[in-house]
Amino acid sequence: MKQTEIYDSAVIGGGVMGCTTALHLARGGMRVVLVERGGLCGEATGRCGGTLSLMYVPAILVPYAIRGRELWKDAPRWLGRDVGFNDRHGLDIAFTDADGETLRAEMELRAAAGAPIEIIDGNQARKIEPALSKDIVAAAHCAQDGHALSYLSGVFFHRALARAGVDIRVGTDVFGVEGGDRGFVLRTAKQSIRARRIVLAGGVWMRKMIGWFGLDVPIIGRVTQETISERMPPILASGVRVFRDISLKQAANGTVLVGGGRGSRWIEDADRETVELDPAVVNQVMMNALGSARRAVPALAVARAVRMWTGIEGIAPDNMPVIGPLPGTADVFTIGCQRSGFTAGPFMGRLLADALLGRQPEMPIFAPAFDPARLLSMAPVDRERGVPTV
Amino acid sequence: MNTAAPVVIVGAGPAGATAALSLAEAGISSVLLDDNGAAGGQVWRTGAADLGPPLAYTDARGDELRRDLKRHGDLIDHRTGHEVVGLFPDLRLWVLEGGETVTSLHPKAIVVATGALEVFAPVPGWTRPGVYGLGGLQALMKTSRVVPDGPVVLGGAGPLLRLVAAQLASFGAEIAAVVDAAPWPSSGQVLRLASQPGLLAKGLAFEWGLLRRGIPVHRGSAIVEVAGDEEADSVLVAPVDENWRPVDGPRRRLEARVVGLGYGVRSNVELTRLAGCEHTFSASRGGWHATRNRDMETTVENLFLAGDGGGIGGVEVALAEGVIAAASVSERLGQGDRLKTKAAKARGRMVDLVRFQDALADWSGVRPGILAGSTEDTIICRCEDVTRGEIAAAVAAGYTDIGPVKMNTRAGMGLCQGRTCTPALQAIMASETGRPLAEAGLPTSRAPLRPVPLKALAQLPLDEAVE
Amino acid sequence: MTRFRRTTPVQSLVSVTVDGRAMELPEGEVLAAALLVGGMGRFSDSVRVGEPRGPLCLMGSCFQCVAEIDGTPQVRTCRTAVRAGMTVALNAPSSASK
Ligand SMILES: Cc1cc2nc3c(=O)[nH]c(=O)nc-3n(C[C@H](O)[C@H](O)[C@H](O)COP(=O)(O)OP(=O)(O)OC[C@H]3O[C@@H](n4cnc5c(N)ncnc54)[C@H](O)[C@@H]3O)c2cc1C
Ligand SMILES: Cc1cc2nc3c(=O)[nH]c(=O)nc-3n(C[C@H](O)[C@H](O)[C@H](O)COP(=O)(O)OP(=O)(O)OC[C@H]3O[C@@H](n4cnc5c(N)ncnc54)[C@H](O)[C@@H]3O)c2cc1C
Ligand code: FES
Repeated sequence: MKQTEIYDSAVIGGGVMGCTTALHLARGGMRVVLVERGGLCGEATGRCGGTLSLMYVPAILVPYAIRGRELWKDAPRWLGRDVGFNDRHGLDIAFTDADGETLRAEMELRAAAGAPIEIIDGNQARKIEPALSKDIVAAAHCAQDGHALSYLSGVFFHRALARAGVDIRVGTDVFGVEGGDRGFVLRTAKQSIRARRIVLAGGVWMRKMIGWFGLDVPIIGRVTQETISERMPPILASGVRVFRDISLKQAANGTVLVGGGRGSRWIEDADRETVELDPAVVNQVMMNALGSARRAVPALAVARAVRMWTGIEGIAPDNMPVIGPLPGTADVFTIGCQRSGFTAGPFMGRLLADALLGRQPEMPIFAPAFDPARLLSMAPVDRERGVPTV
Repeated sequence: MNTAAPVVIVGAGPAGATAALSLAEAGISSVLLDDNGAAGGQVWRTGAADLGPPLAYTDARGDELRRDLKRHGDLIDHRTGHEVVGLFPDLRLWVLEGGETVTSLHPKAIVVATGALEVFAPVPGWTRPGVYGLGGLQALMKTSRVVPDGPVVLGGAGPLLRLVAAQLASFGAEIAAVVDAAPWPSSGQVLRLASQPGLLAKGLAFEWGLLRRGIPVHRGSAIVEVAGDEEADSVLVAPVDENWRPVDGPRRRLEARVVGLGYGVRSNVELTRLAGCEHTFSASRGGWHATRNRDMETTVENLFLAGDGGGIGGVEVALAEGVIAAASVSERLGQGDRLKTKAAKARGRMVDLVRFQDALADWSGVRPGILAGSTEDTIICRCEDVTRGEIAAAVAAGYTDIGPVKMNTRAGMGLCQGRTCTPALQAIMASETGRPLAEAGLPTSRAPLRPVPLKALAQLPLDEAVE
Repeated sequence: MTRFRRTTPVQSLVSVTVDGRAMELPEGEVLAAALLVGGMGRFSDSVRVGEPRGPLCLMGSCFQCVAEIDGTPQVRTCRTAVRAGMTVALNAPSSASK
């Protein structure tokens, strides 16, 4: 396409949210450019654990997560490739009665929203997952769980997007967006890009992107860590979580992934602080996570860790997604900042695309709970208390 | 065991061991960590058992070094079999012992002296058992006096090629051929190599050793294929141009029971990368290495770097830098300038040595055609089985930075964390994008650098008291 | 097929089990070296293609020489000394799964 031509939509940010939005917009007949400063799915999406779970999300997002998980299962059909989907049972376990009670209260809300979750005791949990520790007092069990190989998603999205005719501009950092008489102009390190419609899908960089339009929203970054083991004989048959602490799973190739860990941080400026992450904290969180992993699944004591990495996701103070029209500037939309966003991502992107294509979305997407405008009057995250979980 | 040392030195090769000895001279104690069973590094590597007569073309300085370290045992806490698997910008280290336990150290100053790694140029069949690094064949001789049985073909470039050939021959190994990508040195190159008559003489001695035994040396040629049923049994040799690209001309197949490959060495940058030091690319120093000031300090305060890990300079440079780094550390710790004169002398020696190194790199340093022997299907990353074609496809899709290429192809993401394939990966990216090698970038390194038992990390005690 | 030989006499031999077979190997020797002299060249299978692999660098860097040792998978044999009674499994499934 020549530089003077105008795209129907420019999607800025190539994580799961941006990729699926761009894919469905293009399939719906729009001329779409996807602009990503690194590689596709190289940030939160590619670094994430790939857990597909209904047990982490705020209750009203449960129906969306169910559909997202189904889409990952169905990836060969709409993405053209199986992204290593693993159909598993999920267990969220508690070591104390107090945790068990909070777990029950939270999970009942998710169950009421449609997640097939039941509360069981330690013995029942060990029947489902014999590798679990004897010290577990309570657990939540969900028959719909599992994971996909998130690190592969970028390659697969790339192929599908190219086939759908999306103009993919990786390695292209957007510095700002200007409104013009013929739509918008994206300023990049390379050539400028013109588009009639803008979708901001910048993950934790969403705050900065919204800032291009003169608005400040209290989106904050949360750092999560992952540690991966070498290939091991089968140990874990289900996706295991330690309540409000870590997640654990074993991939088909035998590697065990430990995600999370107590002591992880909130950060304000993802650009600056990722390079300045205090190594002492990073290391401490990893040790905490591995300690919990070992406690939950004693057989992991012999596992060897081969690599550790961090990723950052954007979070709104109410822990709800930021999806919808941006207040103040017509034809600018946002999508992101969704808890367990990898799980629901393919569905949210499709819903937004449907809305922009003038179709009736399968579930509400321009919902008040997701509306970016709500953030303008919202207080920043209280770092001590964190954000609501259900 | 002395855990109150303010200084930790990583690597007990010529650079690290000399730094420890110099510090001891100034009365400063140090912890000297190395993953081998004995000090000496690459050049003075040795085995545990009694090995009989010394290896040809080596000197006695390794034994001397080990004796000196022992003599200063009160000040130098040399821990063998200790592998540093983490080094963080706050000068914290994770140390893996015997593959089992991990300790955390937090000294006031660190000297990284982790030396070099061999550079491999993948060709079809190079993954077959029976193909070894030149340094690997040398290590078998140095630690175990084990040598190939049956015809050996050695291919590559750089000083190690002839040295290993001469050493193997001295043990009676049957060297069928030495295949050298570099042509005869030009007279100008010889002249500049003569700036270090001692080193030039050494090189000539290897050459003479080969000549005397009638070992054929194919100059301006490269091994472009390793064939065999399952394991290697022959190689294909083709002529190459001055950039090491295979050209038309007679190709010959040579029988080989053991194949040695190596295209020179590059700095081992995994620790300095992890620590967040700034790095630079310099073709005559083996490519990427951390930048340092003249006191051998990196861009991370109190993190010093000596020896081949800071750019390839060879053993004599490593020795000099070890002294300079020690002098800087001593001064930084407020322990006076007792090493000042020694350091000044070392600086003086370095000028000529560096000139020699430049001449050597000019003659046999890595050339842009290093990858031209590989094909679409050649496996570049041996850990994850990623081919050249897959990497090229990622670059063609717009992934022009090394991080996204790794993530999308899995190249360099396996057990070795890219130690083997990184130079080849960079070369493919350079050739596919048409950009200079220096712009292909350097991958990030991540802790732990080696597999570490979960239980060891989970129980990592608080920092061992290092003052 | 043996591709390597030892040029110095062995001091003391110890019994080691390699792939279920009893072998006498020099105590304290680098395990990779002892196995090479013992005629073994194929140490593991690669993870994706499943093709044979053997030691490459012999200095702890490349991880191509890994074997399961006393139940621990993927241990570098070039960094391991021969000990009496050790059990070594080459091409162990855990090091070679997909
Ligand atoms: C470590 C970790 C583990 C997680 N585990 C799970 C899990 O197991 N299951 C689950 O469901 N969710 C998980 N999540 C959450 C999930 O990863 C995210 O919700 C989801 O991937 C977010 O997708 P996104 O597209 O909004 O953001 P991202 O994937 O971060 O994409 C945003 C993109 O925007 C690009 N960008 C930013 N600024 C610019 C600019 N100026 N110009 C051009 N491009 C720009 C970035 O480079 C990036 O690629 C995890 C998150 C993390 C960090
Ligand atoms: C394979 C190979 C073979 C070589 N053979 C010769 C030769 O025969 N003659 C010659 O003149 N030059 C040789 N060289 C060149 C060599 O780099 C220099 O001659 C010289 O050894 C450099 O000294 P150094 O102290 O900088 O590093 P080295 O001698 O390499 O010493 C570095 C030491 O650090 C250890 N180390 C590395 N990483 C870690 C870690 N994370 N934790 C703990 N310890 C670590 C290494 O095992 C090594 O013992 C060789 C280089 C290589 C790569
Ligand atoms: S042969 Fe390379 S690590 Fe052992």
